[in-house]
Amino acid sequence: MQLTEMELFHIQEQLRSEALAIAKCMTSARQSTDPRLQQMYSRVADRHRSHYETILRNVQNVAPQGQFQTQY
Amino acid sequence: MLDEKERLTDSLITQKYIAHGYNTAATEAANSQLMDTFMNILRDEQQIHKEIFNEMKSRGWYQPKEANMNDIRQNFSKWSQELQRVQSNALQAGAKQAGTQQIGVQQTGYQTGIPQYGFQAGIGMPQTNEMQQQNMYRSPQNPMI
Repeated sequence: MQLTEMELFHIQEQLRSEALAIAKCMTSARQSTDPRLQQMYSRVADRHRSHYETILRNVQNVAPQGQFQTQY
Repeated sequence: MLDEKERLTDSLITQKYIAHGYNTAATEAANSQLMDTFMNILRDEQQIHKEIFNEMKSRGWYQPKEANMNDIRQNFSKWSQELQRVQSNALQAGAKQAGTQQIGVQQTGYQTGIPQYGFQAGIGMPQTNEMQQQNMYRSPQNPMI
């Protein structure tokens, strides 16, 4: 399995967005005064974290760390 | 610090932006496995968007204006007709193209069978219209024309 440059570009863009979304949700969960919304923000943060890890696994499948180090 | 409504609005806009990114990423993925990954996440992002939207709606912070019933009816009739128009245009264009292709097929057969060009049309060649005749006499130097 290989990745195109376009795919790598989108992976970076989405990881960046997910990371920011996680940070924002965590802040919102802390700042919100509504318990219902606090819970929602926490759950959404978890989902974004799960997306982040899913994408990361795809990258790892393409270029396992061991293989990466021997190449460079 | 943002207030409760601003925070939800910010989250909603963030979701919209992220979903848009996944849509583009899935569309432009060459790798099927990666495409599936992007599409699965896209679905979840849209669900999150919907949950945030529902929270806003239930608090009266997001009230999309309903479309006018007459506008909906007018649009329905307009776009129903448009579909008919587009389809019949495409069919007519297709019929014309099919005619051209038929000429092409005949020419290929004729060119391979009889290598000379510029011969008298009419020998075993059906003449149906002027365009076809012009095609028969076309110069061998310009096979694309």
